[in-house]
Amino acid sequence: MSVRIADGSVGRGLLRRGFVGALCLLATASFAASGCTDDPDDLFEDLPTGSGAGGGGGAGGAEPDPITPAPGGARRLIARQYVESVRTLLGDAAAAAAVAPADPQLLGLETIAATTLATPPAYIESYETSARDVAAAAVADATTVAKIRPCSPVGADDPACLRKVVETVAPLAWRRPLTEEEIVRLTAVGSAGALAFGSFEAGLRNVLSAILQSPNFLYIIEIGEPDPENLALRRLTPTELITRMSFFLVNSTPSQALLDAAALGALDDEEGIRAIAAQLVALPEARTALDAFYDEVYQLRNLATVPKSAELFPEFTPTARAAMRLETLLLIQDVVWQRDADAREILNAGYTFVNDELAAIYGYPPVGTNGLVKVTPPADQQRAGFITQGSFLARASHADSTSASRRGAFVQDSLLCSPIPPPPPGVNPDFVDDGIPKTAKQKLEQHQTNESCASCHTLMDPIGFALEPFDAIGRHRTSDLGMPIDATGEVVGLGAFDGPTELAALVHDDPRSGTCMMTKLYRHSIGHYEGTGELDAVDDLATEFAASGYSMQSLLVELCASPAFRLVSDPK
Amino acid sequence: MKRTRPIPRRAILRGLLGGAIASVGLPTLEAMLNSHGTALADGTPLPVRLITWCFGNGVVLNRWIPGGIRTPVTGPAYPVSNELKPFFDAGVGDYMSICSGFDNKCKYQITHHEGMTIFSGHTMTDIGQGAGYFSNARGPTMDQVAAQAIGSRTAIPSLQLGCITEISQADYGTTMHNLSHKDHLQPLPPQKNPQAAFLSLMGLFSPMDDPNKPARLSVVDSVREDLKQLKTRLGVADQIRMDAHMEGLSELETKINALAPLCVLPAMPTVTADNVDGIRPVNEAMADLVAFAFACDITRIASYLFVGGAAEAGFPEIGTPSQHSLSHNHNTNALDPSAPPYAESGSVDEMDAGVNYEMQMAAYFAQKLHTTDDGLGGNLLDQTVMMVSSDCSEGFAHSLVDFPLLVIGKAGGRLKYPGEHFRDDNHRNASDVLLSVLQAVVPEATEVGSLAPAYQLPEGNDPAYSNTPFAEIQTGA
Repeated sequence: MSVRIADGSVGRGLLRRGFVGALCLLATASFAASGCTDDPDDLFEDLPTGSGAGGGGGAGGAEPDPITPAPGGARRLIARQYVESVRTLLGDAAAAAAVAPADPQLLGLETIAATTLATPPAYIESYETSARDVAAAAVADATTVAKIRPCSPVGADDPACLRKVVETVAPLAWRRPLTEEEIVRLTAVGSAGALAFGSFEAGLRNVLSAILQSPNFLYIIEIGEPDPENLALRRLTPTELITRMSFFLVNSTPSQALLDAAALGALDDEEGIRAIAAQLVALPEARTALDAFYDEVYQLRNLATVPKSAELFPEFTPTARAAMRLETLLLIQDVVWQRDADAREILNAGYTFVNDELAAIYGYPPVGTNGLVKVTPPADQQRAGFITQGSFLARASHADSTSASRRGAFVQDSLLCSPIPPPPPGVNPDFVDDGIPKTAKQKLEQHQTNESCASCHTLMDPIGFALEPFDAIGRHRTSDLGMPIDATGEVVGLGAFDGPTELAALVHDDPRSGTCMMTKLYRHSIGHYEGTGELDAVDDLATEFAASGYSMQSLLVELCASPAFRLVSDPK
Repeated sequence: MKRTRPIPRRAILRGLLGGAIASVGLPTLEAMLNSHGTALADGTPLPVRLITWCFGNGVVLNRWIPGGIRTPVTGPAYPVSNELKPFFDAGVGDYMSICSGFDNKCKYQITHHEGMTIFSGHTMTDIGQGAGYFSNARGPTMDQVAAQAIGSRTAIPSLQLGCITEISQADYGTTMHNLSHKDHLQPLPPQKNPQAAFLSLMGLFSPMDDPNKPARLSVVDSVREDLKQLKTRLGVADQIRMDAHMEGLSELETKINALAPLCVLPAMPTVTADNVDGIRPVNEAMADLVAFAFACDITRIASYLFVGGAAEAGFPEIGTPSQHSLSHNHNTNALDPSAPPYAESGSVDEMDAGVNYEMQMAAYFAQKLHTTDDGLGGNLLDQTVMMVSSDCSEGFAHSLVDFPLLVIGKAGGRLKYPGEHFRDDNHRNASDVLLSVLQAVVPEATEVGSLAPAYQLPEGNDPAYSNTPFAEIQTGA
């Protein structure tokens, strides 16, 4: 049996929470059963096949399920965590030399891949190169040397001084005390370097290189211990918990102060956890970390290379692509940090941020600067939040035309957490050209005539219809191929709408959008796709998020205090 | 995707210094052969090299198959189709066998995911868990099966390279973004930056008396000990990951221990990414690196993901905005005669031009090997097998029927030369061709894929498995 990467009963969880996407899954499952795959039951065995499929928890007001938290184990540092950890340990010069391999994603998140996939040989080679470069930069930096070398070396090979370096750096880098055997071994590695080159600095470099190439640095190790409050459960040790919090909130390994606080019991109760989390959230690094998260989940970083016809869209320059990415990040920063407002305003804010280049593309009045400034778009363009910004509209389009299906699929999948399954085998997603000109909407309406297509496309295409007033790079338009645009649509579970503003309002108001923001953040925070045993705790988080008026700052804190974050199952 | 970082200057210097002083592999020389020139003096067969070469989004079958899909012409004297013409233009057409009529037997379909089965013989697994477009490779790709068998004979077991940085959004798993998988949950991502690939090939070897060598090896030993101790604290899934880490560490150790190549080093490529420097320059830099690595016997196995599965690849050089979009043209539908309007229509010209362009890129690889001396009086293509395929046959409906399959090279005399157009009219398993390619590199191989049970695949129930090689392309040598 192969390793399962997600709990098999996710489908039940989605249904239990009334997610509309699951209806589409069911429709496809029944389509498959009609003979389009040779073994449909096998393929969709995880999905509910009828009422009553939900496991414990659901029926008859029984006791809530006891929590089954995510398994413990080893999670590789993602690139930004690697670089920031080097900064925390060895300073800016060393961090500038740190190069981590590009991270793959699993289920749309790098941290899930980091928990699940093996580290390929090319990465291990890359970690060696980086560790040696980092070590050289650190040893060349007097400030860093003063910090990590609490002794004056005598001669090239000075094991006593090397040992002190090991004792200073390694427990912080490995986020735990070292055994005597480990201290002796790392010291010997230092001596090997010192002897090879006849220099103490070479020994120092070799020690740092060994510490940074160790799995004890490269992986976050979460084993846990019995929870004193409930011996049937395991909780993260204080050190593991502060480590998880620090990597989640500021993308870096915990400082000595944080490790000390944890060791002294600062995280022994939820109030203590909240207090420390709030301190971390107040740091500028927390903002950078949240930026990076949205860069990933909103695919903003893909904008730089998203294919676009240079012939049709010469305006879509590298600087315009960069400005569109920044437009969305500035909106998020404004909502979350400047205003600590309802985070769902990201999805329907009446203002945005542009520079002159973007203003020219969008048809807004010039703002007189290359820097992005806050503006209110012209009302007739019906702009409202992220899904009416170029970063989304251009990325979720084809190279030469809009894609209502892609735009709609992203809203369902990434903003409402209601993923759309792929088309069944043997179906051509393209349409026969009968020679009669059609708007994008008219073309896509052919999806509705085919039952196997309609079951899913009715959930995504209409969302895209409402965004048809924006072309493939996000410019406002009123016609498509010379024909007026009809921006009306209706989606089960979301409602009926006419145009971008109404759609954005429905997405904003839909309880799924706030929950989905929270869920994505949760998955990212621990590198894990929630299973049935976590659903109660995750539901509680959603409730708290709503109760806070959807304050992202308070969600960041509350997430750390959640049992789903604090507790752990056996190492996987 | 993220823009590739330029290589730091000090890394370049290290690369050049590391290579300039010394050497790993030794190119085969005539003096090392037996009296017949058919094997090394000690009886070891001459090394055969392998390239798996993937281009996403399929072909226009009617312009791929010699003679067209309705009236295919088989044998050695087939009419050259437009999409295969680049190989003849590059002077390597005689090295190519076209295998048509074979079906990719992958059990499930998630648009383009299933196509990647052509390189492994495994139906993908973990389908749809948590996201619609989700799957993982179930087992090793064929190149990694070969690397397992012969990879330890060279300083680097295998190379994974790629070109087009844009990747599909329709894979939340590992299947389509990687052409090589060591095993389930062990993808080997392709390096798409030629400078980084160059440094990985050349930059890490130590000169003989480099004091870095003992220092680095002491670190490797320490890390190995860390891994051993950590492993005892983890569960089964993570133990497998730590084992993989340990193997990667051993590969690094082998490299540190190897002497830098004796061969004259090529210049460091000047290009770093297709979207910065253009596709053709990146493709050529990668082909040149593979040819060098083969000639110098640094490695014998390479995979090359020119265009990833379902990737929205644009080819600016010929004005193609997205080969993926073009691949859904109705008129490419050669497979379903009932789907109107099936005809040789001018509307497929753009898609056809894109495939022709992709095959120009593949042909450059073959040409480069063909023009590189193998040290035995022949050329490297004589000692290589290159398998070219895609993630679907026609993009129209992500078809698995009549898969595009090219087998190029003599593989040291194990593959028929000159090549022919072979056609099977009974929907034969394309994994049979995959197995025959594997046997050209690893003659003792008996199967590709697996009959062992896996998630969504009960025992004995993966139709993509094969233990019946397509013998027609083999010489029996």
